[in-house]
Formats: sequence, C-alpha cells, structure tokens
Amino acid sequence: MQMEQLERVLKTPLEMKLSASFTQDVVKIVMEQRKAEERRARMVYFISVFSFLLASAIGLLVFIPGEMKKTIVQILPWGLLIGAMALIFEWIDQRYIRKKLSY
Amino acid sequence: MLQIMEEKDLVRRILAGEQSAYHEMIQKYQRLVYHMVARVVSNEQDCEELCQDVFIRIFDRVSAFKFDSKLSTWVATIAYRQALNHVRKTNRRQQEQDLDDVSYQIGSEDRSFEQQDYSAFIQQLIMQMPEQYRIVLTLYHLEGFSYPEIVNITQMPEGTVKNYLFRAKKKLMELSQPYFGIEIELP
Repeated sequence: MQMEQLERVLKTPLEMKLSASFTQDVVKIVMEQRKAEERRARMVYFISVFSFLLASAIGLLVFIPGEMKKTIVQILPWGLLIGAMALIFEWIDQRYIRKKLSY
Repeated sequence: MLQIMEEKDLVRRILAGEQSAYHEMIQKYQRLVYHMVARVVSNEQDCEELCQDVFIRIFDRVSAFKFDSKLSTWVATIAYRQALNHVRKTNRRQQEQDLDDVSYQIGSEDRSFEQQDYSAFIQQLIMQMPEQYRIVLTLYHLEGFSYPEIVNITQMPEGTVKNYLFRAKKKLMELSQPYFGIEIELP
C-alpha cells in the first residue's frame, strides 16, 4: 500500500513552469543562430573569391608581358564564365546537396 | 520500427530547416527536458533558461545524431549533461550532498506535514537528495527509461543505477511512514 502510493507519486509528472512563449523563443533563437552562421559562411566565401580574383589580377599586371595581355583579355570572358559556373555549382551544393548528405 | 521512421523523418525535417519540425521537437520532448532540468535546478528562471540552452544544443548537434539509440535517450543525455554542468558551475563551493542528509525536521514548528499533500512532501524530499539520485529516480519512474538506457544517459554502471534507485526509495519510504500511521523513532 505504502510502496504503491510512493510509486504512484514518483510517476506523477512535475508541474511545468515554462513560459507560454517557450517554444517560440527557442525557435526564434535557433533560427537567428542559423541565419548568422549562413551569413558568416557567405561572407567567408565571398572574401575568399574576391581575394583570389584580386591576387590573380595583380599577378597578371605584374608578371605577364605586354603582348600576352591581349590574349588574356580575349580569353577573359571564358574565365568569367567558368567563375560564374563555379558560383552556381557552389550555390546548388549549399542549397540542396549538403543538407541531404548531412542527414 | 514506426517510431524510428518517425524520428528519422523529424530529424530530416529539422536539418532541412523546417520550422514546424523545430516546434514538433520541442513539444515532444519539452516535458522530458523539463523533468531532467527541474530535478536539478530549483530556481524557476534558471530552469527555463537551462531548458532553452538544452534545446539550442539539441538543434545544434542534431546532425551528429546517428540513430544508435532512441531520440528520447539522446535528448535526455544532452539534458543531463547540461544540467550537471550548470550545477557544477553555480554550486562550485557547495558541499557534497549525501543521501543521509535527506530528512524531515520532526518535532520542529513545521510539523504540519500530516496535513500536507503527500505528493508535495515526497517532491520536497527528492529535492534534498544528491543530484544523481534525483536524476535516476526521474529517468526510471517519471520517464520510464530502462536500466540500459539510464546507463547510456548517465554513464553510471548499472549496479550503481540500481543501488541509487533502491537507496532513494528506501529513504523515501522511511521518511514517509508518518503518512501511514507508523511512528518514527525520534533521535
């Protein structure tokens, strides 16, 4: 009898004293954290691309002889096209592939 | 099997960033997290903040969950560790508690316990126990975890878990005897 009553009390859930907006608050914090992380990742990515392009431009200007510059200017649109493709693939990877792989 | 499928689906939706999945996760496990935290932290505000921290950590780590246990076991493990860390940080100077310290002041002015709610009386006694005892009681009786699951959550040996449960219940039985008309020996 005594044991039964004790077991019953031990199984009784505690009175929840969380605020009514608890779920909303947590989701808001988590979403803000995720957005901040994405912003940080995007910034690092763009800084890397920009640094690479800047270093390439400086390299071209400093080390490439004059007559070769004409050729480089001619093939530059292809380079830009490849760069654009890389950006698109990166976006597809971030948006669709990585989330599925992480699961 | 169905439960695993549902858990996998929930985790997949969380990783895909679905807000409804976050809500579902919190609704589903907030009682478990609350029980784990409230058993260790008595201050209401601290308790709510710690519950928030537990869920933030859960969402932060969910991609690392490999389904080698039930989702509830994993959630309880995170809640347990967070709660213990909190206690260690805040009560660094507090003396080590012992089960023998759990008592009821018999003969004091506060001898109104006979009129008190039995449940509230037991809860008060539990809150006087060392954290490990409280946690084991909560996991076993309140949340219905098995011994291997409690071992998984707390990393205590199974013998220790059983011993804590036995000693805690024995102590509660001893101290609650006045409710059943059994006289307690006065010191």
